[in-house]
Amino acid sequence: MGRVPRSFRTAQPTSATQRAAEHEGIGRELNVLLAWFTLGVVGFIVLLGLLEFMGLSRRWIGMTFLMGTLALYATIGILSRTTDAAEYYVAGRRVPAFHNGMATGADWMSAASFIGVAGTLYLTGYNGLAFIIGWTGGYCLVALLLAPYLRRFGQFTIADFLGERYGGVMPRLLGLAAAILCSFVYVVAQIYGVGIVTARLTGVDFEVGIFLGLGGILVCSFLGGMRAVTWTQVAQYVILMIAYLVPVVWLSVKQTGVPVPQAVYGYQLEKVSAMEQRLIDDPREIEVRQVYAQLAEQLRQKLRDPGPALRQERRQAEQRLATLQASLAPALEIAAAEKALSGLPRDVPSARAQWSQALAQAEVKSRPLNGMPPHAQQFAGDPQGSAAERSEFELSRRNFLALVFCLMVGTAALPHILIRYYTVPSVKQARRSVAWSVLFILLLYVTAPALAVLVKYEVLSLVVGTEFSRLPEWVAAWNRVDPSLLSVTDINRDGILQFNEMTIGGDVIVLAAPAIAGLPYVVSALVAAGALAAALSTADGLLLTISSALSHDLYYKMIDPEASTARRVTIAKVLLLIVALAAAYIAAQRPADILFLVSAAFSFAAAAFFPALVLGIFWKRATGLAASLGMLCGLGLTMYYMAVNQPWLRSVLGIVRPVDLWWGIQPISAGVFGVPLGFAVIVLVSLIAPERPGASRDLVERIRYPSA
Amino acid sequence: MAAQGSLLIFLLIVVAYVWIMERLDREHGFEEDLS
Repeated sequence: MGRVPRSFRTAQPTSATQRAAEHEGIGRELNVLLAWFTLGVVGFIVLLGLLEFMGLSRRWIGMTFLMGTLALYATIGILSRTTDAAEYYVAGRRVPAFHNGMATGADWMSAASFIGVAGTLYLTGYNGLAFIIGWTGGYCLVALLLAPYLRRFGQFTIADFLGERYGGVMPRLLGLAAAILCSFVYVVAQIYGVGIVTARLTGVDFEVGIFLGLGGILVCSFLGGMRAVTWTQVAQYVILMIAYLVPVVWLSVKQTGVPVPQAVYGYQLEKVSAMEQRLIDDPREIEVRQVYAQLAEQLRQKLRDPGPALRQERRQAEQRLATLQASLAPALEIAAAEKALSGLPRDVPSARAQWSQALAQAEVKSRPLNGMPPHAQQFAGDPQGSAAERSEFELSRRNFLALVFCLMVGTAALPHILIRYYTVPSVKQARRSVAWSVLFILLLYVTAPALAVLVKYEVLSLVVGTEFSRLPEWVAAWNRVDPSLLSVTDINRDGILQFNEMTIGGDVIVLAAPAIAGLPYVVSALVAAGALAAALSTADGLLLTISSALSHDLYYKMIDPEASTARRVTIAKVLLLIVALAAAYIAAQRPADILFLVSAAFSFAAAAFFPALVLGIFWKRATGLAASLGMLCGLGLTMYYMAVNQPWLRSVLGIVRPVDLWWGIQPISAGVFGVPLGFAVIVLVSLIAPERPGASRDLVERIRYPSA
Repeated sequence: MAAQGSLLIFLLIVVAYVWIMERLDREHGFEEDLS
């Protein structure tokens, strides 16, 4: 049987004091261990740095980082193996608040947070702050509305709470389905990230990288469940934070002489803003933008009637090839002409797709600053400008706030985060643990805006305006890795790189930061290992959430309530393996628009869980029927709004009717409609069809009031 | 820099909440078991 948390009771000085002292003693021992571990990581990095200085190749450094960190996680995973249900699902509820906060930080820091946030801030400036504000603010909701009460309830999963609080099969089943929906999409993206990072660290193929990374994920979670995941996440947090901080601190020292980037990047932002203004007015930049505007116009003409345009292009390419062959031109020129001919779209649909993509890119590049807003500009448009500019400003601000709302509420409702607070020994520790979680997450999120600004300053001051032949080595290196991450084109043929001639992907900002800062390769490998730690830690938490939902809520609670503890844990392990393999298989297919689906997971979680959880805790009259309908309606409306308005989903579902945005809200923030609807439905149905007071009301009393 | 400010405010809200709740627990004589 799993260990059931004890209820609050009035103080019993002797036993409580002894237990508290014992708990504090364990906490101190763990802190000493953590300090030694951190020193060991730093020593390992220094050692590899020395070996690089002595001539160790980059490939070996990358392999050593990969194998070293995976071996560390595997050791922790094996040492934490268990067959006890409470240990497997909730780490025996013995994790100190500080360490649970750290594990939550790693659980939270996905590959998207580690790699993507600074990149998004680089590309979108102020508007990207919606992510860090929403994601951090969500923990206030977790602290005030959910974590202490869920810990007081004290079972294993979120669907457990819905099932016990509301009674009946439906709320548990809906909770289970929503948890799998939110978590599976998310875990596919993490495994995709693991594949990319592993491939880059070792040079193996992406598909091989996925299955190597999958091995890393499984060694963390397969044998020890939540207990193993918790302690590997603590180790992963240390690695990912060191990896994130080293390049940005070095960039800060290099640019300002101060090793606290979070405090001084405002000064660099002022310089970046001045540089951006100069770029907007620079004649060479204007010339580049005009070239792209002409290119966009040509593409628009071709797209008006793509059939004849494609035939004409093919005819011209064939004529050029024939002319070159007839004149016995150099083999290189003939090969280039052949490549140009074979690179033409095969048919009209592919021509339309290819040219539409090129048109979108040319339109972006025909705008000032590569289509990016000035870094410090709050929202699009101008609140003091024309009617159109005021309207654009209002719309941009509204979408910013809607996104913050969805990310905040979605964060507070993500099952893999909420179940972390089941692992601490008490309600008090749960509250403290949220505070530690916010601190550990905040450390990265206050650094990301600084990194974005410092890298932009470096690019604007050292790269833009440089002759193509003298560009830094990292530009060519990242172009070789993947041209979609970084590419440069001398479109106006002046031999000098203008800002709009450079295409830089968000994902490259963090990964290339060490090279941009001029640091040795060992730091680049460290950053890749940090990204791997971020992806592995989140993937483990998500896989455990899915396997717990299936094994505990579906199998144990619904199919075989008589199952023994050992059987339940065995089934959880088998399911974890199956889900991991399924997610790896889907990730290996390189699914389109996976980042949209990850963002959508926040709206799904917000609409499905938040109203039912909050009203379940704070309103005794909320009924099971109302909660089920509220979850269905909230999630249904969110999914409907996304399906009819999001371009990729529209194409997948074959929706052709015009996009209809309500109050101009983008589909990524669909939860802004689903959450209020969920609340409204639960309240109305509970009032219209009340249930008799019963066990569920006693449960609310028990989790809300310490004397109950 | 405003972003940093909002994040710090979030942290302060949570820390203040923890502090107030623990004070209330002490005032009313509630101690929790550590399971």
